[in-house]
This record gives sequence, structure tokens and C-alpha cells, in this order.
Amino acid sequence: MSNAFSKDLIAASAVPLVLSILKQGDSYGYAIIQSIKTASGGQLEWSEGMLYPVLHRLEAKGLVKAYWGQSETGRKRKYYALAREGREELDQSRQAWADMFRILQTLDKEAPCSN
Amino acid sequence: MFELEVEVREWCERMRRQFGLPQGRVLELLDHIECEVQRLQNQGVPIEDAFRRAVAGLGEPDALGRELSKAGNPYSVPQVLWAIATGRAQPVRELLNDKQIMHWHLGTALFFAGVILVGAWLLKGTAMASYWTSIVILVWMIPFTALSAAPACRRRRA
Repeated sequence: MSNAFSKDLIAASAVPLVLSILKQGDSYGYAIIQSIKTASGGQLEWSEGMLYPVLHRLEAKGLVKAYWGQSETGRKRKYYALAREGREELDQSRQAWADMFRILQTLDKEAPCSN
Repeated sequence: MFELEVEVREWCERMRRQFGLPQGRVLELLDHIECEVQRLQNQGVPIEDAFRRAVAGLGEPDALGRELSKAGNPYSVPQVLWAIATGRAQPVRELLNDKQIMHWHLGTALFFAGVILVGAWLLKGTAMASYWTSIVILVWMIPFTALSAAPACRRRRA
């Protein structure tokens, strides 16, 4: 786990980050973990115990579609693809995160209250 | 001597039995372990260490098993029935654990036994009566075959 991000923040950002990765193309668990590690420059390291339940919940909600394929060595591999509903959810999440960031910036710029 | 296949198989069996995980979830974890073992081996880590590190990287087995068994089943009952009827039950079976598969077999056995008995009673004395049981058993074979194959963990052992 990263020192820079709290557990709560990691949990809250998991869904939009997974959906963003899948927007780039179909992927599987191990590759998703590697993608997030690379994209965050190693700051964000997801555990398997966190990622797979998230993927299964997204699948159960219909935000991602799963299918079985084969790895380069021929073993079975479960791939995930972004569903239409997932795309919509991602757009909403992006907007929400952008709004939250804007609020933070606004509060940062405001002068502190004078008593 | 360390054998990766044997170790992976045993780990798979333990997770499946201990937490009642469906075959699909275990297969997904196996792929994950094998990817990590491969990555570590490419870095020059001996295979035994690579396996132990890959498994350790998954975290505490109890916590992992609990988390994995929590997530819901993405298929509704009509979807399961439709998949079976159209011969695409394999992906669905991977989401059922051993207990659910046993319940499935018991349920279908009772259902078709009832259909045979009721049909035979209704058709008694007609020419169709002699064919009825055979027809029902043939229909029964579709869902039975779809879900009867042993989970991949056990298949690997063969």
C-alpha cells in the first residue's frame, strides 16, 4: 500500500480507476494491477484481495463484461471489458472527481476566516 | 523436488475447499499467481521462491477467501437457464461452487423424476407412454452434461 494515499482514498478511487483502465482496452486482473502501478509511478499498489472483489462487483452490476480467453501460454484467463453502463458510470465519476478537485482548489484559494 | 504444477494445484484445492470458491474465481487467482511467478522468474528468482512470493503477495488467505466469496454472482436465474438451454453453460458453471453444483443436480434430478412419473401416469395406455421416459432422460442430459464436468482443479490432477 502506498504511504501517500489513505485506505479510504484508495477504496473510493478503485472503481473509476478500473473503469479508466478498461476504457483503454480489455484487460485481466494481473495486468490491471500492473497498469495502475505503472500509471501511478509505483505510488499506488493495489492488492489482489482488493482488486478481484471490485472486478466481480462491477461485473455483477453490469458495468463490465467478463469473458474467458487464453494467455500466451495457453492457460485460461478471465478478461474484463467495459460495458456501455460502465462507460456512463466512468463519465459520471470523472465529473464528480473533477468537481471535488475544483472545490478543494477553491477552498485553498479562499482567505482564512478572520475572527 | 519442487514442482510448480503440484504446488499450484494444492493451493487451488485448499482455497476452493476452505472458502467454497467457485471454479472461475480460483482459476482467476491461478492465472494471477502464474503471471507473477513468470515475472519473478524473468528477474532471476528461483521457481520455488517465486511461487512462495507470488502466493504471499496475495495476502492473508483467510482475508482473501472472505473477500472473494463476498462478491455476487453476475448471472440471474433466467440467464443461467438460457445459457444452459443454448449450450453455453460452461461460463456459468465456473461461477458455481461445489455445493451449488450439487444442489443443481439434486434439483434437476427431482424435477425430471417428477416429470417422468406425471407423464407416465398421464400417458398410460397410449403409444407415447413407452417413449416418454427416454425422451425425458434425453432432455435431462442437456443440463446434466452442461454442469457435470469436474472443476478444472480436479481435472488438472488427472
